Amino acid sequence: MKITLNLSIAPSPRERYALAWAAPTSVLAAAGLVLLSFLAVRNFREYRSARQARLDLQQVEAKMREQEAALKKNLERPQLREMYRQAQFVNSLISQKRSSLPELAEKVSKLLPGQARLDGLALTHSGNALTVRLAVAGTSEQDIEKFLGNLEDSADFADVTVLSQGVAPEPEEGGGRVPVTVVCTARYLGGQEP
Amino acid sequence: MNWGFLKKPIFLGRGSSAARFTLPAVVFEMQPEFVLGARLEGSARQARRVGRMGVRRLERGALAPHPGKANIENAEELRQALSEVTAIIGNGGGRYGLVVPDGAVRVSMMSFETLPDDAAETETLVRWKMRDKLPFSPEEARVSIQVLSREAGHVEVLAVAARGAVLAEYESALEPANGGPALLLPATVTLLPLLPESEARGQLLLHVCSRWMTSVVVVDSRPCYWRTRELDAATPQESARDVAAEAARILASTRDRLHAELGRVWLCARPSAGAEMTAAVAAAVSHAVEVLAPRTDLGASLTPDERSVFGQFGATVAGIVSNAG
Repeated sequence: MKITLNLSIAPSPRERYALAWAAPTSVLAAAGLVLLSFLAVRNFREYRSARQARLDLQQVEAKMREQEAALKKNLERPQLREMYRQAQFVNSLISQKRSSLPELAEKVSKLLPGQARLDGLALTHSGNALTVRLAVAGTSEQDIEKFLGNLEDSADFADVTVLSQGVAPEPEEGGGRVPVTVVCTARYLGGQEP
Repeated sequence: MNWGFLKKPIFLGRGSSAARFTLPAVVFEMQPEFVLGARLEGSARQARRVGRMGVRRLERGALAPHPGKANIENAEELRQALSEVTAIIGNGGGRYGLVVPDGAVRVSMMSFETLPDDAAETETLVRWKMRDKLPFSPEEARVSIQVLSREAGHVEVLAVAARGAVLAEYESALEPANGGPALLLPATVTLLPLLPESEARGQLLLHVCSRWMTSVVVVDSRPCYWRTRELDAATPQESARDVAAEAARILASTRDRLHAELGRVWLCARPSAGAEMTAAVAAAVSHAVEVLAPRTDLGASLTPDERSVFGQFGATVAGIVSNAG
């Protein structure tokens, strides 16, 4: 008679199929290893080229710094410093030439209301800036306030400062109204280069 | 709703713990008086033969078969004998076959009206039914079951049970050099394939080995009676008398309880029985006694010395090879 008995412990499915699964698992692992190696090599090459580019840029930056230092050193030579001072002087002359007094008087006249008149005008240089001193007389305080408003709104003037404001001691000839005067300063922008 | 169909996929491998019969490349047998090893040649598809064979005598008391308690009394002696046998047959390092003494296991024939489809449930049922025959807790048993016949309302089962700790003891003797047993059987079970299936009448198999005797009655290729006992005899003459007396008792019992006539009586004694025992048994049963010996063609490639060992001890190995063929 045939027997099928066996008292040994049956191997578990894991034990039974471990060898069968070993081959495909090894193939997949090898494929994974190849892929990872390929990616690692590619990443290393990219890293190397990026590093080289960074080194090149650093070299260019260093060269430019050297050039800047050389230029600064060159500029600090006495001959060049004198030339710089002379250039500044010439530039200031050019700028002074550009600020014409009749043009200034015309611009101020346009700001005056109908009953006001310009009594005094002076232009002074302080460094690169031009300062205008104005004395205006009007028939009423409204004229003076309007003039000051026009002056502040004007694109040719800035930093308006009122130095004095008052009423004239004598009325105008012909029995006119008592004049109101104001003296002020402002920075003149119209003569500067754009 | 029946969720049973989900059990198998979810608990894959947690059903029945016992394996099915398989033919290993190397077979070891441990008996109280000897240790045997055999290497099998050929492939699974071709006919297998015994390529190498070795046997080593054991000192008395080194191995004491018992189903419930420790069997190995002298582990060093057993390990030494196994290593000598392994040196003869060669160490394959793979999984091996292991034949253990009949005294270490319990064999039982059982009848059921029906059996569960699930192998684990069948094993639990058999365990529960064998509980009175086991000198240990049924939960500790390793059980293997073979359905002998299945008819409507009647299922006959041959069950083998052994304590897991006892079997582990035998396995541990070989474990360091090998990969665990692929086949584990008691000696007499391996002899069943050697009995002719064409015999219409009953057959009595007497297996005498190392002062242990197992008697099996087979009717219609189905074991109907199984008894294992230790012989008290001190001399070969006393052994022959004990075996003959046991054979006579079984013959009478078979006629009375099984209502079966025995057509053939087989005697398998290892080492080979003398003419005295054969004659004593023949006289006791009043029947011709045939010696159950391994087929000579299975040992054709053995050396003359190994062939002699195979003839005396190799019936179990021959049975395993015949069962696989």
